[in-house]
Amino acid sequence: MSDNNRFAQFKLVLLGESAVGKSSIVHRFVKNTFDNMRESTIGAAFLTQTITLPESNTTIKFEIWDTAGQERYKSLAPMYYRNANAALCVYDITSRSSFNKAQDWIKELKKQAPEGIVICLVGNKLDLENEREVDQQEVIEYVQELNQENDNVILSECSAKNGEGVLDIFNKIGRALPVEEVINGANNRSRQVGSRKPGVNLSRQQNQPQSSNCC
Amino acid sequence: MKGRRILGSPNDSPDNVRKKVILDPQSPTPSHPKSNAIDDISEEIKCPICNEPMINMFQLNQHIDDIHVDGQPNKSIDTETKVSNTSYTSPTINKLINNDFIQKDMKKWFDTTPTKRKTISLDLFDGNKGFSLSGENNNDDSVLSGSEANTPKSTSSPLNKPRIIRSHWKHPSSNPQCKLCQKPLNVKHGIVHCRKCGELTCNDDSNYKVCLRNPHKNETIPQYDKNGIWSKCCRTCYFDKPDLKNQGQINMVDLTDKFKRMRTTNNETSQLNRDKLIKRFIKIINFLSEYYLTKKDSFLSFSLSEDQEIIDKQKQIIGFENWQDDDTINHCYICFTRFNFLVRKHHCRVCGKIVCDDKFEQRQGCSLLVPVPIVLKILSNLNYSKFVLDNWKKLMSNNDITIRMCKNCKNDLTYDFKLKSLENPEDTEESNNLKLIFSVYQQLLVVKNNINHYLPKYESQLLSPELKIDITNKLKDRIMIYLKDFESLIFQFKHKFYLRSGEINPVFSKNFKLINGINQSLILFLQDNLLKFKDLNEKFRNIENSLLPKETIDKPKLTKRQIRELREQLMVMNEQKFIIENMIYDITKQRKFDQLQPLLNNKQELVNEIESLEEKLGEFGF
Repeated sequence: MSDNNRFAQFKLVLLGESAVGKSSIVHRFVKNTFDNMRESTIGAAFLTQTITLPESNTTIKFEIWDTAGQERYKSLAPMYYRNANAALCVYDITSRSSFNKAQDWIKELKKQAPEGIVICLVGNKLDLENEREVDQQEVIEYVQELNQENDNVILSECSAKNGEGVLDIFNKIGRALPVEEVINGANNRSRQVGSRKPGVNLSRQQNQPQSSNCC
Repeated sequence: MKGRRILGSPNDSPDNVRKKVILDPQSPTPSHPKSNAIDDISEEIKCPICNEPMINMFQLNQHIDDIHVDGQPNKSIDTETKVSNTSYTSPTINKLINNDFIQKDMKKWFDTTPTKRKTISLDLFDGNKGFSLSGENNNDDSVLSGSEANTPKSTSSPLNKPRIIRSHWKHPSSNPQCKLCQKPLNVKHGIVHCRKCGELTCNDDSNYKVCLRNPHKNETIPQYDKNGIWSKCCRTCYFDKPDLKNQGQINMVDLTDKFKRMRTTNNETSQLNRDKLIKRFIKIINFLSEYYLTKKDSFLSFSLSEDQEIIDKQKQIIGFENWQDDDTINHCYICFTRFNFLVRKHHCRVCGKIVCDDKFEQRQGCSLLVPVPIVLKILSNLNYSKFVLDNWKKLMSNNDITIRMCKNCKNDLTYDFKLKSLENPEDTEESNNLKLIFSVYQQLLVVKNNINHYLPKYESQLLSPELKIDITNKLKDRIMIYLKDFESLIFQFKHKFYLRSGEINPVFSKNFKLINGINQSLILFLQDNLLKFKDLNEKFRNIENSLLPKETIDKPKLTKRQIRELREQLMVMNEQKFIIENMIYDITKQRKFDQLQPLLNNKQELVNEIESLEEKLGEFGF
């Protein structure tokens, strides 16, 4: 870890209705693979992936919690978004109900999730453009409305199947995350520990000062 | 001892006393320059010693002070020993010493009264006995003069009352100094033994008295005793008195009831008197107006005979017995000025007493010839005769008709009027403001009373062993509503009388003290009661919780559906825990230690979650 290659860890959680392609996005991102016949997730899966932001020469490691979309596992979600730094609310552009569900998730996040969580609204299955049900313009308006209020909701569309726009999502999130704060916080601690151990602990620390802004 | 007498049993014949008075060159001549009326006592008062007639108690008091004291020196104050031992031969020194320090202390009290009077007042001030009118001729009793048996108390007690011992008295050294102020003790400052500790002090420092009793077997000095003899003591001993030392134990006598009773009776009698005077006044006005208005046409001035006629009629109205006889009265009954060629006698036409006139306002304005219109203006709504009411305008414009009234009668007649004018100030802006303030305050008071009424009820409900939840709940809700009302009313109050900036609205700036006071008290009240209410609620909740057994809390909480949901959650969690454990196992196998920490954390979270779920489910868990 040289100084000119900075490093930060973030916890990211995927939320959304079942079968919108959350796991597919993650797998595309992490392993760059796609499985047509993916089985539905049980509970929550854990994966990690690092990206490098070239402009700031920063390496960001995502600890990705891919939650199951099935109603049965709903009670698990709070445990994962409770101290997450970023949340992906995924919907299927060919399914109206999945978009509604994503909206619900955003609402819930605003209520329950820590202040300053980066929310990204992702429309998946861009490859099925001709079966589109959720109008892009409508989504843009909805996001604009949200952004008027306060925090930023990133809007993105992708296709896990052909990989279009998937990396883009994570890059956008990486830029939106408070990288500097985490790095500074890590620098204050001993560097040795910082590389491996701090992980979640660090990001928690980073969350606290942010939340203290309002309360 | 032959001089001792009980009050009211003169053994000195008046002649004797007079002789003494004449003999004594120091007897001050009686003068009453600024004496005031204290009581008007109609019966004749006589001096119990010399039988001289007196006008009232006040004068008698002075008379006794002035004349009879001098006849019996040593009577009033327990004089300093040495001097009094020299006794009758040196009354002047005695007096000199006494007067010296007394004058210092009491100057402000009775600066105009003769010096002897001060002596007695001091005894009064010492507060033990009241003063006695009889003196003590202890010319031949020099031993006794040293002891406190000489204090006025001895008049009502047996002659051979035990004396406080003197064996412990310190012998004066050649240059005696006061124990307390180090003043040299001499004739000027006095040499006094403290009866308690026996130390030598000056007059100033021994001007105290305590009740003492003689020491018992193993005691050397006299001890404090409530039932003992009043004895002179030094300041230290006075303030060492047990009841003064422990200030909390001072005996208090609550005289409020007695005072109230006396006040009501006093008020009632004076009200009766006022009613009587008003009735007379009405009659007089009726008569006067009739008399003058009917005769005025023919006469412009009134001859003496007519005056006599008026006076006769007035006598009749007042009642002949009330019309004081000119011959018997020598002093104005208000200011006690002796009538003479210049100070003339006048009858008050309302009460019939003889008062002086005060044309030149040199004295106190004891009586005045008041033009009738002025009185009528003030007393306009009395029950006058039809004639008076018919000729009201005429009367009001006629300043020639006058009536002589003494000061007291004037005050009595205008009493109600003054009272009214106090109660109903004129309808100015200020009074309107006051009305507004009080109307708002009234509303607040109603709510306040409600709170005051229900809060203790609520409290007692909570404390009572058989507490009924529903009743208590109702009370609680009610109090809550009242408190809310009260708060909103306070807001209204503030809105009305204060500006946004928190200052008082300038319209009400004159009443700012009142408004501030009300505001403060209201807020205090609210705060106190809110706190109390909160405490009580806490108590109530605890009681409620302890009253309800645990199942009753859990049972309604967990419906079947909830149980199902919770169970499902628990299942999911366990599943997840299993997954994570597997993951951890895999990852350790694969040596991907960088991913291990988040998983471990997550596992811990899951364990916690599972625990809490199981706790919630209780017996319904797996």
